Formats: sequence, C-alpha cells, structure tokens
Amino acid sequence: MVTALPRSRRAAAPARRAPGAASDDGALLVAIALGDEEATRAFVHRHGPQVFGLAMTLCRDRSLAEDVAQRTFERAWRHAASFDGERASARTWLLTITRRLAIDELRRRRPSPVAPDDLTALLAPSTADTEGAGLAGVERARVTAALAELPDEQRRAVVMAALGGLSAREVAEVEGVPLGTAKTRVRLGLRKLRATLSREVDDG
Amino acid sequence: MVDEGRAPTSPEACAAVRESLELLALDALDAAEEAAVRAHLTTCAGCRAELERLTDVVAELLAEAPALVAPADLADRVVAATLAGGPQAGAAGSEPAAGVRARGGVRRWVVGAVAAAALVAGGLVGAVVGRATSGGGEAAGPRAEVTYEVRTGTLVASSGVETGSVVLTAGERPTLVMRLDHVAAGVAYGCAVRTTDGEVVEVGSWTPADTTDTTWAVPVDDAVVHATEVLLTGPGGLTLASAALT
Repeated sequence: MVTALPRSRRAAAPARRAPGAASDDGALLVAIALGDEEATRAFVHRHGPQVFGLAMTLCRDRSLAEDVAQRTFERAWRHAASFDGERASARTWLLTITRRLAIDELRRRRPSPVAPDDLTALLAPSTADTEGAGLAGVERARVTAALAELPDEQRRAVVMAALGGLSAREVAEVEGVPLGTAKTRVRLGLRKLRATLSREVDDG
Repeated sequence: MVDEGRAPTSPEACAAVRESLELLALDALDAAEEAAVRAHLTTCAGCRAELERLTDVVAELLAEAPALVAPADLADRVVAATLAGGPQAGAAGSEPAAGVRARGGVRRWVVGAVAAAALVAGGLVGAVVGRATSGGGEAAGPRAEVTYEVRTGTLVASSGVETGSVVLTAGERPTLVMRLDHVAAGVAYGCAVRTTDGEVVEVGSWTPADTTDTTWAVPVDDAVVHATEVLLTGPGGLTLASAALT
C-alpha cells in the first residue's frame, strides 16, 4: 500500500474515498468529457444495473428497457454539464433521466395502466449486487423506511406514479377512485415522504 | 389549479400552483394542467425552487426499483453511440462532449476531438482551451474562452512497459484520473504523487471489482495539483509504475 512509500503524508480527506463512492462520479465524468472510452465503460458498468432495473420496472419490456438504458447513458454523456454533484448523486441523476425517457416512451405506446399488484411487488428488496451497492443500499433503506410510514393508499399512489409512470388520472382508474382523490393521495404521500426524508437528514 | 385571473406571481397564484407541484414532480398531471403550472413557473422563482426540492424527493424514490443485470453489451452500445455522434467523430471543437458543473454555475467543457484523444492516449503537454457556457442545461448562450489546465502522463513499469495513462486537471475541481491497460480484480492498488519539492503524497487506493474496472478518478487537493510524477503502487507498497506529468 502507499503508506509504505518514503516520506509519505496523507492527502486531503476527499482523496481517500473509495472508488465506488458516489463522490467519484463527478470526477469520472471529467474523464468521460476528455473522451476516455474506458471511463465511459466504467461509468456504464457502475450504474448499468440500477438504470436497467428502473427501465425494466417502468417499461415492462426488455427491448424497450434496453433502449431506454442505452439512451440514458448517451444523454448523460452529452449533457454532463447539467450534473450537479452537490445536489444529487450521479446515480440519482441518471435514474431521473431514465424515468423521463421511459415515461415519454410509455405515454406514446402504453394502452393501459400497469396493474397495482405488480408495482407493490417492486418494493421487495433486490437481490442483484452492483458496484457501490453498499452506498446505494443505505440510500434505499432510508427511502423504503420512509415509504413504509405512509398510509397504504398514499404509498400505492406515489409508487404507481413514480415507478409505474402513471398519471393521476391513471392512478384514479386503477384504484377506482375519483380523480380528485387520486391527486390528493399522490400529493399528501409525496409531501409526507419529503418531510420524513428531510427530518432524517436534519437528525443525521 | 392556476387561476389565470390572478397576477402571475401573487400569493394566491402561488398557493394554487403549489397544490399541483407534487403531481408535476411526478409527471402525474394531464398535459393541459401541466402547461398551466409551467406557465406560472416561468415567472416564479419560489415555486420553481419548490418544484426542484420535490423533484429531488422523487429522484430518491427511483432507487426503490430493483437493480437488474444489465445487457452484457450495454457499455459497447453506449461507447459505439457516443463515438458515432460525439466529438471524436467530428472536427476539433465542434461539439461539447460532456462537462462538470462547477460551484456557482454551469461550466461545459468543450474539448476538441483531436485534443481529447491525444491527451488521453498520448500524454501531450498543455492546456485545453474550452468555452464556458453560462446558464443551465443545454441552453445556448454567450460563450467566453476559458483555459483548463490538463497535464498528462504515461504510466511506465520498471520493466519499461507502458501500463496506462494519467490525467491531472486543475481548476475549480482538480481531478486525477488513472487508467490502467490491465488490472487484477480484488487487488488493492495505491496511488501517490511526487510534489514539486520531492515529497511523496498519498492520494488514495482502490480495488477493482473485476478486470474491466480499469479507470479510477478521484478529486484531489491543491498539494496534488502541482505534482510532477504519479506513482502506482501494489500490495505492500511496491511501486508498480510511474508517470512523469508534463
């Protein structure tokens, strides 16, 4: 290890972070900006499973999900200037792109809303292991716990909208409730989720 | 919903819009509703900021989706697509590849094809002249010339064999990028630099998850920015290779 080097002294703390940490992603994007193909591969390798998983969750179609995942990374490569490492992790940024692309596709071609039972099953823990899964796992546990605090109908509404790509009108249709009720469930659910997550940050 | 009879940024208008921001953050509004809310957002920074915060919550929620084994050729497809449509295929300085957001604004790197390829592959001396774009996202705007200092080097093993390359960028976010031609999975690699006064400074270490994990990038501090040499070490502190920065 480098500690055995002569006259060594420790560099600043940020340089000590593990390579899989989200904090390194911004730096990796610099390498990508410099045209480094290997950096692009490393970035795809690191985030591919989560991006593809979300694409499959939303699309329910492997071919379409593969296309969305590929386009997610292409867009990330082209528009890394909009990445703000201080606001969100690269993973979160990528997943937001994935969702946007998937919803655009779905709203063009989906004939009917996804059944809610399928979406509820999505909340089960993943068994897939990815690079950086430790950090992602911690983030995920926070959100899972916050979701669990919501009343069931609000949690279902929020999950259907976020991970199912359903509009409020489609949530109302699936749940058999008036549009106004569906909107209220989505609104209150996300509000509570935000309050819970921000409370955890303050406590932490 | 938005009452068009109210002043665009009146408290009443904001209160009405805020009832819809959660739905907008989740893309759950119908097109007409969304258009009305977005019309308000164009004139109201407070509601835009609120939407941004809600969008961040939704983004966190997306991690709930299970990770799945990605297609084996996903990286190949992405690289092929970026090579086909990116700066490497065009004239130098034609299109931006990507960039990083610096504190206080957006800075887009505009690295020419020839310069970028040469810097990473060949270890050329010098600085990359880029252009900074003010504003967000893809918005075009007046551009000013900005010079980014980029120094590079080729990692050479004691046997004389070239084993990879390093790139050290200066600026607001100094970064060291090390790329190895081959790595052994599970082996702890270390990185250190020699500063201008000859001192060796430890930068960090990493353990490749597998043999494709060949690139390592890490933010560095000011002491490292002026390094003259980068050292790659293996288990036990053995120096595997070094690269003179030029």
